[in-house]
Amino acid sequence: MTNIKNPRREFIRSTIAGGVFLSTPTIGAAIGHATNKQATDNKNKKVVWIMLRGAMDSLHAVIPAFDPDYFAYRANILSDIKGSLLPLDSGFALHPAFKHLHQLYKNKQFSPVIAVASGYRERSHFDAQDQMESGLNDIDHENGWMARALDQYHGQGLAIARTIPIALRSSSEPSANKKPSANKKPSANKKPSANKKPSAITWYPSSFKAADDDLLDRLEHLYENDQELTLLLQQAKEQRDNPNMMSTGKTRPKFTLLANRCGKILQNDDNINCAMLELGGWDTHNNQAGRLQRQFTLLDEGIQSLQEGLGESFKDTLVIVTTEFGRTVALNGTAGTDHGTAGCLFMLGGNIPQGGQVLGKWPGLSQNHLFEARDLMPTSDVREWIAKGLQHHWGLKQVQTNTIFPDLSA
Amino acid sequence: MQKSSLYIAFNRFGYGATPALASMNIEDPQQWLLDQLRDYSIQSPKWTSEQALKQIFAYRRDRKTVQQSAENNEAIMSLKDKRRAMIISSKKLSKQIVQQAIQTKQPLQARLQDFFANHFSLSNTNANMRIIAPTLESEAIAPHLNGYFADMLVSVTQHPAMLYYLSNESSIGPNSALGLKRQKRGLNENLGREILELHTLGVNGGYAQSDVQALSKGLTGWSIGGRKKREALGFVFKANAHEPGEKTLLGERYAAATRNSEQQAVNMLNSLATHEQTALHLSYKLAKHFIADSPPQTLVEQLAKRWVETAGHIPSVMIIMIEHPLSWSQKSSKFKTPREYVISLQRACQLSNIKPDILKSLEILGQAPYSSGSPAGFSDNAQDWASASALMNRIEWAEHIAGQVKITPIDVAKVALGDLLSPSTAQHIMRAESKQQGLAMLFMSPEFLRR
Repeated sequence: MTNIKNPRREFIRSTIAGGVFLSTPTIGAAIGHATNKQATDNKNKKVVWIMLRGAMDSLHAVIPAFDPDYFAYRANILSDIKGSLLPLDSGFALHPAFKHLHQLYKNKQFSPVIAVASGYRERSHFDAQDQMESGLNDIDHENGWMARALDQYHGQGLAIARTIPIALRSSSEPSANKKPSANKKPSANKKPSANKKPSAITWYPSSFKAADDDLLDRLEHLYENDQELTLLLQQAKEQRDNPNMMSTGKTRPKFTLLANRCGKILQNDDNINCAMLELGGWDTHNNQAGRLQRQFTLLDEGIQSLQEGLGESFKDTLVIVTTEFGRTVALNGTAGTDHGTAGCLFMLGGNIPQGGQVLGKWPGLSQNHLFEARDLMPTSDVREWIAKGLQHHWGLKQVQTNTIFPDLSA
Repeated sequence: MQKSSLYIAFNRFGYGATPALASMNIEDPQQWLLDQLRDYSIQSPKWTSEQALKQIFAYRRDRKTVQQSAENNEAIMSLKDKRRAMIISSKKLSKQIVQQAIQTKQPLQARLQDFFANHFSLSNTNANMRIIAPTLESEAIAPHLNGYFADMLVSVTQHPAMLYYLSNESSIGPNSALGLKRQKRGLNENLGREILELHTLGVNGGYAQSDVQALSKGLTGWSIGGRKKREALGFVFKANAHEPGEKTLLGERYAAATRNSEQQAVNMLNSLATHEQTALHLSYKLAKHFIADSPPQTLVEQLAKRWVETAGHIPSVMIIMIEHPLSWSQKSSKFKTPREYVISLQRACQLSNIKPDILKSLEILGQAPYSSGSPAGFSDNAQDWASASALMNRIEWAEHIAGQVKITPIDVAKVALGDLLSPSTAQHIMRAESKQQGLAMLFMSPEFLRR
């Protein structure tokens, strides 16, 4: 199946097929008629979007502990965590690395949403990420959903990146960077464009970052048949890891640092209404138990430092965490998972409706309930949840969120 | 000629493919190269040696005034600003030269220019050099790429940047009018020696100390004018500093020119430029630069033969190289220098601006323009660039720049590598977890690192 124009049809089918019904994406139903008054009150409300690049395995994050099919598929990689799962409602559980998220859940400040997908139904990371950023069924590299949301809200966005990501690009305005007021050492800032207020700005620490470990691993593999490069890379890694050489002194800015600074900028700059953060390293084709343990810990700590950075503003902030797609239900031959379809998303914040619940519809894992007989079946669209979130948090009306996500109203 | 030769033409003789080149239907890669052997120049250079000299001299006069007057912080600050402004202007030209290599439709000529700029290498050893160095390339090298090496050699040797760099502007013949008056200052052999050792015959070219002295004496009086307000800016022949009389270089006698004494050294340079040893030295360097670290001897000999036959006509020699089968049959074994790497990457991605900017990027990767620190220039041995730490630098830089590219990795790969793209690299690029990672894999793939 290729990009489907109306994902709802898919949801209906899966519900009829007998999926466990938990709840529907109706967060914003009651406030669909937000008044202008509310919109003004909402002016200092922030939205943070964390994009997980590489496709997080939702089935290892939000675990359907009630489903015997799950254990049939995944038993091999669960031995280390099985005894320490963090319980959620309806029989679900969080991976034990999500300590902070679990605390938020108990405070009714976090809700995972299960079995979600964008309109994309193929399995290319790049296209799926671009589509998630553009929020359209047909990818537009110069037109992102956050930029359109900001247009409706008359706000300004921040990207914790060196260049403006697709999500914050708007074809109607040239993207330009300016200096955010809250940070001392901005690195990638241009002067604001002449008179127009730029729709988005960027911030990133100025130090040149150390290479990503995952990239080094992949290069090692790529150099397999090249003796010269294999040797050089090996030496280079040894030099880097040898504390006595201190060859570069470079460190990769940790996600926790980026998240913390992001929170601080948002807290101190009233003009910035939303921000995008990203975290890679999720493409776990092999030995995923250990890698995901580290990734989940990093994400959990990152969310905690974002919250610390936001300080008081956390109560007025909605954080949305998504990934481009899910991963296969079955493990592959190398104790990892391959590219799949439905995944999960996280909604959290100081004051979210329906906090402390597992949202979304569980489609089941029996063979006939899987998408293309291999992936978790999508039962709702990521964009619907984001739209409802924006309606509630920013007081946008449904016609406005339909402008942001035109493919939803079709 | 096989189709796979096209990417050899792009990479070995140029700075890699661009989307436009990749989509052109080039049937004859050799002809595509031969067609590039036309005039090439830096379009509207952003900084000239005349501007540089004018400002250097004005700066020196101001400095004198400030030093003589009582301490005046404001004046000192304004002086510092002036110097900074000159260096910034010079960097603009430096950057323009690299930018042009990224944009050019004559990548072969851009490569040749870079080869000769490195052959006549300058370094930012002092403030003057930082201000004037890049003008050598645009004024003395580029204009002669499509002509005779002898003309380039004379132009370079008379250029203020080279005269400053090897301190010839203050070299005085012991028996010149000035020399007899001022016994303390005298002959400087720096330029004469480097011309023989590096620019022409080569270190084993069979010259003696007496030849160094003869050439150096011939070059006395080759200086820079404009210090005094009325003087013309640029190369000037100071007859009163010129060592008079006949000189013997490599056994050949050069008569003292009667009226225009600058002609004596011009004659010396002309005959050095066409000398058999120069032909061999330059042919070896050219073959080593373009083809392989240890170039085939036959190829070198044929280039040298053509050099002698045509009195060092550069395009004629290049035609031999382009048409020689050995130039195409060698393995792609050269590890790209940082300069070739950055330029080819920007060409493939059509990235006109990068952060950090191109000069800073070259510095990070270890090849900032005019930083070789030696008149011998940057090394042309692959192994001098392919070190472990350089590789890690390149990975970090490539990963960083990958975040600035908006094109899909596999599309960039097809442009950059064409049929050189191996199935394994293609697979690795497509399996990357993000566009950025996919692009970094491409930029660090064995076939993109080498040419």
